[in-house]
Amino acid sequence: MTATSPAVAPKILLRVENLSVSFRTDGAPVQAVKAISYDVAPGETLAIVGESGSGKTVGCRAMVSLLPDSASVRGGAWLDDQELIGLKGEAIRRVRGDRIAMIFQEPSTALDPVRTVGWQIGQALRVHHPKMTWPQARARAVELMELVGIPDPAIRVQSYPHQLSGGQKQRVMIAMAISCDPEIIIADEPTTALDVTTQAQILDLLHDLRDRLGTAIILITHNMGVVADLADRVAVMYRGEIVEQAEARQLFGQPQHPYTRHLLSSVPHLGQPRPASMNTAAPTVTDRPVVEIEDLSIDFPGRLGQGPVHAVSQVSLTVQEHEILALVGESGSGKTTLARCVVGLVKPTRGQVRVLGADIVKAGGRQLRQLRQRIGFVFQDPAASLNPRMTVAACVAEPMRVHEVGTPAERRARVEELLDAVELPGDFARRYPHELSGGQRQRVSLARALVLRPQFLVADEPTSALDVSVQARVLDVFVRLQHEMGFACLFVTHDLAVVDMLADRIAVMRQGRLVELGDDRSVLRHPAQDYTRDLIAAVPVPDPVEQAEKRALRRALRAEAASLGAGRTD
Amino acid sequence: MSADLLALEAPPRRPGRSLPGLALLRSTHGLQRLMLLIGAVLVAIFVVVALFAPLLAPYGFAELFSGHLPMSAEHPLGTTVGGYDVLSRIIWGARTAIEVIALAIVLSILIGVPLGLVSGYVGGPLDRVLVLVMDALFAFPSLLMAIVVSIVVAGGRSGVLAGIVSAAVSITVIFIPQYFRVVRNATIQVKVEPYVEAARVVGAGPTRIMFGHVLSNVSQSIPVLATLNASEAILTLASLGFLGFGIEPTSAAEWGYDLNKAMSGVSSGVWWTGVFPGLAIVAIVTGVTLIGESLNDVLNPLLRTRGGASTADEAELIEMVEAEAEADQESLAPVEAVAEADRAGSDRPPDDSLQPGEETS
Repeated sequence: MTATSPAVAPKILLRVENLSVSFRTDGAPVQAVKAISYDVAPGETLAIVGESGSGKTVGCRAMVSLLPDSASVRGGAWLDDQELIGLKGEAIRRVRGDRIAMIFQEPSTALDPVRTVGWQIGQALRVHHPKMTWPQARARAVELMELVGIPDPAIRVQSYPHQLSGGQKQRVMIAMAISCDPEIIIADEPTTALDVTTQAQILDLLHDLRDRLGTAIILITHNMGVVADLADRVAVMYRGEIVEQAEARQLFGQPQHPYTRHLLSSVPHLGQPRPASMNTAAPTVTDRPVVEIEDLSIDFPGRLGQGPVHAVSQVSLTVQEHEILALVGESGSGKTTLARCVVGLVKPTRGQVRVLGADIVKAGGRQLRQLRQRIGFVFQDPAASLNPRMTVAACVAEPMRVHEVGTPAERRARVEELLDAVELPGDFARRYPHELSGGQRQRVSLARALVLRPQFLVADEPTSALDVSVQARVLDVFVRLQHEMGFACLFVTHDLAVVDMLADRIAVMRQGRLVELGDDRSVLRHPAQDYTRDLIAAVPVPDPVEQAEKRALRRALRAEAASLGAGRTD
Repeated sequence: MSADLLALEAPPRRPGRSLPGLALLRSTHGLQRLMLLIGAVLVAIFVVVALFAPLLAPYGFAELFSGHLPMSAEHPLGTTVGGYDVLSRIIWGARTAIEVIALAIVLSILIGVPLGLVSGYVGGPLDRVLVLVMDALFAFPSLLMAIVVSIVVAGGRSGVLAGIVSAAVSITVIFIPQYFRVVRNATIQVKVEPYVEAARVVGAGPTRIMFGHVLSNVSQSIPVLATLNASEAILTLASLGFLGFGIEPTSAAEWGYDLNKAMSGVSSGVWWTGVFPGLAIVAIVTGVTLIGESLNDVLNPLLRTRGGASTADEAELIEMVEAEAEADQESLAPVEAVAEADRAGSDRPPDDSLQPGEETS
């Protein structure tokens, strides 16, 4: 299936032994990586997975001396027979790019905005091939861009990064990485900043490059779907140590370490039955609408000389009492704008939004305040949406104070009750948000949204800033509370697997328009629209066997589409 | 089970919130700590001297003796041209200096901060007009401005209260634009933060948002600005006194005035009337500046090295992994007994991978 069923004898390309990295801080030194060891064979893809902060990136950066001065590195890393640790100046520059290349997470910040992409690829080439002339470098840049699947490379070579889409920018990054035929590519979360469909295309490209060029890849990621799709072998990092290393299929089949087991059981899996923890009695959805959106359009003023941007156009939908309606779409689909409009943070250009029987567009002053008392909102990033100068108790009680509900004693009791409901110990009330973990903060945020017993809750990507292992628990709490309290919910997300776990109905948006609307089962299992089908096919599932089948199926679908002459470029 | 989980959630509390000064000192190191300590000691000496001036000073600030007496047991630092006792003037002068500084800083914070907050949060035409006015004030030479204001307020020179107030007000006018700018710019950054938006969604009104949510998040730079301004205030006060727009010598002791009067004596070898007030000014300005600079280093997060930001995240993760390991062991227990027997016979290596999880419990 892959080119890694090697005809060559299992040779070791990169050997890492007892690599440790520690950082000097104001306090005690922080040990980020603790004596990790692993090997990479030529042409192999090794995935390093772990929580954010588990040291997976630091460990790889240490090999190419890309750490700040406060880091001290011990142990060894050998590329063939060359010791990498301790290389300085010219010696390490000769390794970087030429033998070990890197792909970064955020392509839009990793490219220089004031140079054309052709210049940037050409520069990478000329650094390692000083005899190469500019015309040669440019010609090679065009070749490379063609290789990574950028349409019209001869024209695009003159583009500046902002003229390209996120996926194309990441392709340029990959073109730069492979420009000098490196032996190893370190891909640090190469698809995290991208949409699912773009992610699928980049994964296809990495697959393809590995098969054609035989480059070894070290894939750093937290997305188990991506691991299942691409990796031959997996190393699991937990608190700076590698706790488990195995072939991908074996790791997914029989995880050994408790952390691996926890991680795998937390990953939402599109198409699998909902976990038992979410099967509490749900309130019955009634026909009484809580939110009615009719023919809603929202425009934003465009840049000088350009027309307005249509963030949302002609969307009509309703949210029923007790129902979770998931609003799904890729970045730029207008889903967040729609959600913000429903709570009155954005004014619509045309159309009507009725929330709890009142027109939120026309509501002003007192009516809007009363309405907001009955609406909760959970923001995407809990670290930013909780006031850092207020204690947890003050944050949760804030809506009660604003609406002058209850006496101080009643408020304290209600805060305690809610912290308990979101499974946080009572003494957290006195802490400040920065003293909490991401998952705990998001549960505080949920408690704040629910403190006034709202009839309607808007959740804007509530788990996308969290690690998977933490996400599961937040979702558990969320679903249990929805079942207990029965609020209606507009759940905005880009993650179809999460949607599959909790939604009653799903609305799919694309470029501001509503593409498909239906109940959970019919939209995810039998999508009516091509776009929805693409979206579902693009989600990698955390199971190597299933993912391999899915990939084959996708390839067939694409071949079919190409033969019909309907090939879509990104 | 759930009780266990609660117990495991290691509370990563920061040590003692009780004494802000101590916590501040603890977060400093080496040279920075030395700067902060020296500054604090210098300022503390002046505060004590100012508070107990009536007890410490040998004479009143306006008591007259014969002029130009050298240092003696009766007059430890001699007397001035006008016949005042130098030591007493310096001690009483500390009182004037601290009164003026405190008044000036409180006034400029009381006016500058709310103006900046409203201007930044409301924006639009109001913001534009306020910025224009403040920029005009800012562009004016500060000493000239202080002279103009002191003439307007008190006709140039006057008695105790009017003198102190006019000096304080003229310094205030110079400082308001600084607080205004710092607070306004910070407000503009903070008002688009999600937590401000969260407050809006909750239904909080603009006043509550500005003073309940925004103010506490823009106020961290005010202490730094206040201490740095304090040293400037002393210099401005001294300059006003030196130029003759300060406080009458019979109303209160003021170092700048004494410096001015000392000029005539310099050529005839009378050095003590000028050097000691000058030293007092240098010492208090140095002290306040040192505090301000080290506060700036400590409070500015960009200049601070980060330390273990993910501790709470780690604690939560460990807890969950341990719960997983525990659950595994419970479900595996009956199987394990059988497996143990198997394992003894087979050459399969013992399952080491469980160890790290267990050790952390």
